[in-house]
Amino acid sequence: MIQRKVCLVGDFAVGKTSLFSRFIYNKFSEEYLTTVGVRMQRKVVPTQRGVATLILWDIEGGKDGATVRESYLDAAAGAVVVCDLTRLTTIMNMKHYVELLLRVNPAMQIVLAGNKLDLLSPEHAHLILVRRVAAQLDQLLTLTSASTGVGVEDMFTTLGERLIQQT
Amino acid sequence: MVTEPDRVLSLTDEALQQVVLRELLLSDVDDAHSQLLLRLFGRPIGDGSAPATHQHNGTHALAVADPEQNAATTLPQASVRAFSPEMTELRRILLAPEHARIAQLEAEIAQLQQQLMSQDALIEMLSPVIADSIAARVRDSRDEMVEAFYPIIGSSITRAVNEAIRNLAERIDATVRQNLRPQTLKRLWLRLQGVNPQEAMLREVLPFTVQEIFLIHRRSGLLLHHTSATGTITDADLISGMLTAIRSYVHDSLGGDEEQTLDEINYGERQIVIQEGSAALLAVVLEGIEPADFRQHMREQLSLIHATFGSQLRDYQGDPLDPETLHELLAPLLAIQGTVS
Repeated sequence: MIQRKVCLVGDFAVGKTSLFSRFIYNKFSEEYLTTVGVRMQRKVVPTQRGVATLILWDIEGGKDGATVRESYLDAAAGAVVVCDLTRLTTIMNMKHYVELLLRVNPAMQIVLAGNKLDLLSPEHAHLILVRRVAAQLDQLLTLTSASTGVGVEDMFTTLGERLIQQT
Repeated sequence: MVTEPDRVLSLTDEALQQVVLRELLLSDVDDAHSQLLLRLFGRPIGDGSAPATHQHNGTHALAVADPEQNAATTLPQASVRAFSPEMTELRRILLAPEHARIAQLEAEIAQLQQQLMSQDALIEMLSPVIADSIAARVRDSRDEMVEAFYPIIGSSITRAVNEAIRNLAERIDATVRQNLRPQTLKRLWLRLQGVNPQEAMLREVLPFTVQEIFLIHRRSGLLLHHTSATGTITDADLISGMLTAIRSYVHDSLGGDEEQTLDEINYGERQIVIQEGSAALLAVVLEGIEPADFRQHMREQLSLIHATFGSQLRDYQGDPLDPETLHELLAPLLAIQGTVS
């Protein structure tokens, strides 16, 4: 079985966990997660080399983006940086996470996820802004909605494919 | 209360009549009324009956009776109990249900008294209540109960443990006697090393089982291989990641150099023993008391794994390693079991 370690980072309450908690049941208690600050999830994605298992480290979101425990990022092949499209600061903070991830692993495959798409009208200014931020950071952007499921599967599949091609 | 005869007589419903009559009787009423009432019930009217006299202004008949003239037939307030025969008869008829009820209650009281006097009956009556109350007390104040019971059961437990140890010692002695020659040599060797041979033998016979073995990539926490004796774990890859995260967390939180790592986690009856190699770590879930050289075995197998997979392990990105080779290298650890007899 092909496996890859993937980290999910982003500010507090941007919806990182709900991006896949729709699909996966987690058996570790909430109390434990609050203490250790990370949640393990598994996402199986199809790739050109057969199915791959992404072991997702859903890392507790810091309020200012400064509290990510860097040792949790160790040896991660990929990462999803999540923002809440309805909150401007979370969009702007993505820069901080991308810089942190690239510092830990310059070859890290990163996907930006603009989450809570269902809450915005299609012409909302934040959508223009998030695209600019993604272009500036030179990273792939996917717009997602954890509540409707829009874009979530595509995001993980795209990331899985890139992680397999990389090696 | 209005005791107007016409109205009483005009009542056709028998039950209603009875209600009205009992009301009359239980309140103060004179003989004239009682005669009237008895007539209603079709009973013969005895001598000495006086004609009914009634006030029609709503005040009670008793109020106009002359106590001097006919003291015995007037029915004053509750203090006087000297009823005329008619009145007595009337009471008997009307109060029959109450008498029956009183008789029944008296019987019940007698039965309860009997239960209280008889120890067996008392025990039978109270034991369910006592059992429930003890259960509730244990549930609500566990610590207090433990403290209360410890002096009683503590010594019993000690005795039981001592007995178990004694049995174990006997078993060891039997083993020693059976294999005299090699054991004698071993005992001599242990004695030369300053080890009590009996203690060493005891160590060997304590029950112990290996339940799960996880081989984990040290940096990424990805699961390289999982072998199980129980077959109950389905999220081995997530457990592997979580174990790695917990180790990182402890290391980050408590500080210390690279060498200081979490190498043991205890939970209930079980224990996770972790041995770390340069690229991979071995986490073994075990139950019971591990043999003295178990961790040495773990380190040996881990070295073999590093030697076998070399660069594949150092540059591990998440592509699978040969599971059969890994299984062969880990199976010996799973086979180590305590000698439970």
